[in-house]
Order: sequence, then C-alpha cells, then structure tokens
Amino acid sequence: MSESEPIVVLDNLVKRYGNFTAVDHIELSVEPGQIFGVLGPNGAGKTTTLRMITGLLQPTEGTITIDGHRTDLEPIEAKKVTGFIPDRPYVYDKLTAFEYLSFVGGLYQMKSTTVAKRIRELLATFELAEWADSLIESFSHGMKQRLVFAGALLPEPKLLVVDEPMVGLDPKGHRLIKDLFRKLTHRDGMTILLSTHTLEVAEEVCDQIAIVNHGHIIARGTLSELRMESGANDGSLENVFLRLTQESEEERAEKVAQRFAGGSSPFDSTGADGQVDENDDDEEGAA
Amino acid sequence: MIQKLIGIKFRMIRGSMRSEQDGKYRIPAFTALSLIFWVMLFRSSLWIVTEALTIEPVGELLIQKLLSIAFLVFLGLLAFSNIVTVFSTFYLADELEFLMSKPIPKDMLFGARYLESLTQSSWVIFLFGMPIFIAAGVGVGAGPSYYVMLIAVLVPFVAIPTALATLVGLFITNILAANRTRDAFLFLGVAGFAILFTVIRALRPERLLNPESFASIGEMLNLLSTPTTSYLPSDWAMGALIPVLYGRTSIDPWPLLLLYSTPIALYFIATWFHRPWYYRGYSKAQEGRHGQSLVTTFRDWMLKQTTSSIDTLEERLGELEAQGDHVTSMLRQLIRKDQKIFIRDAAQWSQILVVIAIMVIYLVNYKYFEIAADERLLGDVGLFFFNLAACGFVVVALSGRFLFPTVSVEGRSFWMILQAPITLEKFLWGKWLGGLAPVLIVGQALIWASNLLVLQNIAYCFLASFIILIITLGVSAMSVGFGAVYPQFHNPNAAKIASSFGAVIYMILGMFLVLSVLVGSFRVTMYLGSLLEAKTMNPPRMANYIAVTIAVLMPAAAAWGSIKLGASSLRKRL
Repeated sequence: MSESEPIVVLDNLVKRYGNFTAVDHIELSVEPGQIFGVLGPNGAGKTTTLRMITGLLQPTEGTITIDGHRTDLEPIEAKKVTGFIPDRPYVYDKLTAFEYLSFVGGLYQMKSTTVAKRIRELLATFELAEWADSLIESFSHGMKQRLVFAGALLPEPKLLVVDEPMVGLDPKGHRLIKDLFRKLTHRDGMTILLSTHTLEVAEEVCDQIAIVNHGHIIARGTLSELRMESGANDGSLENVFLRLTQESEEERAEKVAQRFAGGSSPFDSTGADGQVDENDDDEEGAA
Repeated sequence: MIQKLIGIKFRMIRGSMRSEQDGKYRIPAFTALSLIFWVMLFRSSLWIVTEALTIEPVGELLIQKLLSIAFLVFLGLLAFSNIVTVFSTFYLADELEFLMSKPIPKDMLFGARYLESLTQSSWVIFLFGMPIFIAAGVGVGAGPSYYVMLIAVLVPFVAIPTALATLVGLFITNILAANRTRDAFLFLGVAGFAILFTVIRALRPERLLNPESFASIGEMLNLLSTPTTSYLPSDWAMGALIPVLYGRTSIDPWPLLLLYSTPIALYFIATWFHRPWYYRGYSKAQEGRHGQSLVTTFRDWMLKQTTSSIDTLEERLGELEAQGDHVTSMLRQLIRKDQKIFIRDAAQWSQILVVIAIMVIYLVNYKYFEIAADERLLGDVGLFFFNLAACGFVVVALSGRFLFPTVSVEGRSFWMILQAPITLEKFLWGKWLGGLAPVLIVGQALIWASNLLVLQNIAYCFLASFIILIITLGVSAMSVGFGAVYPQFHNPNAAKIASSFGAVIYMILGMFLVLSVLVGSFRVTMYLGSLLEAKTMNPPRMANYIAVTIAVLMPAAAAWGSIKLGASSLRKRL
C-alpha cells in the first residue's frame, strides 16, 4: 500500500441492533499520519463505529479497509496493524504489568528482543516501571489507563484507535497523552483515530474532525472548515459542535424514530460533502 | 415491593430470552435436551425401583431407604449451593450497590433476595429430582395423592436450606472479621462435603444392592427400617411421602407440619435478624473484598512463586532479550496467561478442594461397590463399564466446572482477544489446551486407581485408560465450546457460571457423549480384553467394528464441532 492511500476506508458502513440503526451508511477515509477526531453527542454512533474498525463489532452492511486489508476478508492482517484503547481500561487484573505487556507481545507474535525493548521504553514513557511486578488489580484507574496505552502501542501499530482517551487521567496524564499523540504521528507516522467528548483535546491535536450524529457523519474537515460550515467563523470548537448538532425536540424525536425503524437509505438526503446528512441516537453493545 | 424486585428479575430473564445475541434456539434446545435427560433419568430410576421390588421380603423398605438417601443427597447439595448462592445474592451481587442506595424496606429486600436465592439454588434439584420421585410412584403404583404430596413436600424441603443459609451468611459476615469471610466460606464448603460424605458412607448404600452381604435378614430389616436421622428435613419429607406412596390409611401429620413450620419460622427469624444486622454484614463483606485474609496471604505467596524468580525488572528484560529473535507461540501465551490467572484467583481454590474430595469419595465408594457387585446385579463386565461411565461423568463434571467458565472469566477484558490478531478458534483451542491437563490427570488417576483397586487386570486397565482419554479430550473441548456459546462475561463467579443454563446443556450433552462412546465400544473392548487376557471369545462382527470406529471418532467430532460452534457463536455476538 502506498503512503498516499488512505489507511482507513469505511464504505457504506451500517450497524443495526434489531431494528435500531446505530450507524447508518457511513463513508469515511482517513489519510495516514493524521490525528482524526470523531466527535458527537452521546449515542451518536461514535463508539460503535470505532469498535467496528477494531473488530470488536461486526458491521451489518458495508466494508472496512485498514492499510489495504478488508476486515471481513483479512481480519488478522487488519488487526496486526491496529492498536485499540477503549474508554474503560478493563485488563487482566490477576497479571502483573510486565506479564500483561509480554502477553500482548505474544499475541502480536513479536520477537523477544523487540518485546523487551518496547516494554522498557513504554514502562518509562508511562511511568509504570516501578509497578511492573505489581498485580494490575492494585492499580488506580489512571494507571490502568496508562497501561492500556502501553499495551496498544507495544506492537507499534500503523493505526491507533482511541475511544475517549482522557477518561480517568489527571491533568499531567492529559498533557502526556496530547504530547504523545503529536510525537506518534509526526515522528513515527502513526495514524490516530480518536473519539472524544473533550473538545479542547480535539481542538488542540486533531488534524481532521468528523462530527457524527444519529449514526451519520454530518460534517467533516479541519477546524477552520467546520467553522465555515457551521457559520461560527471565529468560534471555538464547542460553538461549532453545538451549532452543527443543535436540533429541536421534534427533530430529535423524528430522527430517533427513524433510527428505530431501521435507518434511512443512503440516497435519502445527502449533505454538502457527499455524506449522508441525517441524525439519531444510541450504541454501546459488544462483549 | 417484593413483587417489583422479583418482577424485574423475570423481566431480565424474558429480555435474555428475546435477546438475538443468545440465539433463537436456546430455549427449545434446552427444553428438548432436558426432556431427553429427564426421560432417561426416569427410566433408569424406574428400572431400579422395579428391580428392588422383586427382592423379597424387603423390596418396599429398600425403595424407602433409597428414596431417603436421595433426599439426603439433595439436602446436602441444597445446603452447599445455598451457601454459595446466598453469599453472592446477599453480599456480593453487582446490583446490590444500586439496591442499597434506594429506599427499599429491609424486610422487602430480604424477601426478594431470599426468593432469588431459593430459585437459583433449587431449580436444578427440583427439575432433576422429580423423575426419581415420580419413578418411585410409578414403580410402586401409587395413586394421584402421592404426586400431590410430592409437590407439597418438595416446596418446603427446598425452602429450609435457603433460610438456614441466609442465617449462616448473616452470622459469618457479622461475627467474623471482614477479611475472614472468604476463609469461612472455604471452610464451610469443605466441612459440608465432609459431613455429607460421612453420613452417606455410614449408610453404606452399596450393601442395599446386594442383600447377600447381610449376615441375616434381621440385620437387613434393621438397617432398612431405621430412619437416617429424625432431625433432618429429608426424613420429614420421607415421613410425609412414604404413607401416601404405599397407600396407607393412617397418616402421621407431624412430618408435614414440621416441613412447613420450619421454613416459615426460619424465614421470620431470618427476617428479624436481618433487620439490625444485614447492613453491617453487607458493609463488612465489601471491606472483605480487599482485606488481608488467609486466602489473600496465600495468594500473595502464590504470586511470588508464580512470577519469575529473577528480582529486578532489568534482569527480567535482560532474560527476554537473551531469547533473541525467538517468538513465543500464541497458544503458549494464552495458556500461560490462563494458568497464571487461575492460580492467583483465590475463588478457585475451594474448587480444588472439591476436586480432591470427589476423587477420595469416588475411590472409596468404588472399592465398596466391588463388594456389592455380585454376578446377578453387575458382574465384572458390568462393574468395568459402570466404572467407565462414572469416571466419564466425573470428567464431564470437572470440565464443566473448570473449562466451561474459562471463556466467561475473560470478562470485560475480552475486548483484548477480539481486537488482537488471533482467530476465535485459536483462542478457544488455547483455552482447551490450558485447562486440559488437570482434567486429564484426574480422569486418568481415577480410572487407573479404581481399576487397579478392583480389576487387577492390566489389559482392561489400558483399554479403560484409552477410553477415558478420548472421552476427556472430547468433553473438555465441548465444555470450552459450549462455554463460548453461552458466555456470561458479566458474571464474576466462576462457580455460578458452571451451574448456569448453558452449563446444564453441556453436562447433558457430555453425558450423552460418554454413554454413546461406551455403548459403541462395548463389544470390541470386551473382545480386545479377552485377547489380551488370552481368553477365547467370538470375534466381533463388522457392525461392531463400525460402532467402535464411530465411538472413537465421535469425541473428536464433538470437540471440533463444539469449538467451531463456540467461535461462530462468539462472532454472532459481535
């Protein structure tokens, strides 16, 4: 795959739970080396979309291509280049940090020397070296979150998918993660796809932003492009976000009803950038 | 209020039945399998009752004694399962945090939790005890009043252990230091088994199968007519049932009165005690989750033993670096991870004691069975296959306990496996390989020890060992596969997962597999045994060879199919 080709391509992606449509015909492509932010209100379909990209959920329709590998046809190849950081750091409590990282290295079939080198680097980066032999169950939420970061970065993935990176981290942790994201993309050429409610993070680190509502992408572009689109020319991302997602009670009720009826056709109404311009509610799921 | 608290549970069950994740065929499949199992249990019980009736003049007494043993075993099982269930429903359930923060009157909360514990710990016994008791009625030719009485007896019978368990739970969580509660439950579990074993051993039930082992008919009558112990609800149940079973006109109301008054009294006593003491116990139990107890001290010691002997992180990393370009296989990584987690999980240890207890009980009982097995009842061949079946069932039960929950105990960490570059099939094979060794060792130890104790024929020992080996390989993979078909990722209690709906389905299918392998291999096993013993026997026919081929291949097919089914079922959940 050449460098200029998108590293993530979502083609007509749909996820339904029964007759409820969580993600409704999403089309998206992400260029390599970018930090791509996915924003949206609660239940917009962000987490569902990210979980489909990482293989935690199966799409109902549509395809996902990561680094040239279709996730339905070559799931293992696609997963080899993807790292994932969930919003809640559930890890094996009865392992030590060192054992957890060694286990991740084994899952990705890394050479022992590389595993050792990466563990040394990452434990230092995330300030966990002195806790390496402690059981994870004794870690605080923030420490667990840092350990999950270390685990996701251990195999040096080309694509890092991050769901709500700042949950449970203190201000120092926020700074660490923001600096790390920049370093990973600028120095290592990694692509980061992150969903967040912390608009300040998105504003600071994202090269491109997509705003998702009711299972659709309702806008995408750089922050300045989004400002233009929303009409809030010199507003903060918060203003842009609120303008783009604002709707009346009736509009919201109608769109939620539409999502429960099984979603809309991708040809119903198309937005300015060729994206579906519809909206709606829910998500979560997964094991 | 109680209706609302229980109602929400029913709605949750209804919701899970509707759940597309759990599959549309879950309920019909369970019903069909349960029915088949039920019928098989009924027919074999009926056979025993009919056979017993032919033993003159003690047939009726014999049935009475066998029923009282059945009640006693059920009582023991109920006592054990209720203590486990009560501790989790009253003190450790996730939803308690929510319920305790709501303005629910204490008595109502107790009532709802009591009913939940009662249902959870009793339904299996209620369902699978029924065919035995109904078979007794059918075999003896009892009238409809027996079946009405049976229901009337079983309801209070299952309610007593639950009420007692709530009091035991309350006592332990209040009296003992918070961090000792786990130790106490560990102790209670072991003590419960020891008592049950002693009581049943004292009865020597195997003698009942062989009347000739008694010195005189008087001795036998004496043994049969003495009640097990008049203080146990199992004897009250017998006291109420037996007169109706044999259509006697004079019925003693006392047993029934005791059966009903005891759970009612215990319920009110428990409610009364829970008013001032429950909250304290609940709060202490939460502290106990983190406290230092014998269990956690031992766990810390285990942690030290199971982490590398090298002291510093740098040395550990150095050791890894010294391995150079070596890549550890994915399966080995999965197995190592599971074994470490298992060893460090204190909740699993009481189960290891249970395994040891099962082995001791099995071998001691088997030795006694040798005495009971005369030519008329079992014979050498019968004893050999009876032993194989019993050992097969132990393997099914052990796999159910240790391998079935292995997928579920991944819990909320399962995202790591889904997201990693590994197929779900490989993940499940890893689970199987990781848990296989203990089941294999126990299975082989049991079959060798029991056969050497009794048969003392090395040729048959090898044949039995091979049969148990293929059964173990098959059922252990089945348990992993079915554990993936019916996962409970949000249930932290492995023991409860092992007694869940999916586990019952697995157990029934596992038992079918054991019986099918034994039936299919019967003729050829006998022939091979005779050859190895240099005895003469007619060679088997083609049909027998086909049957044995199927019997040998069936566990492999069941293993492969179950793992495939488990993986595809997990994928459907995504």
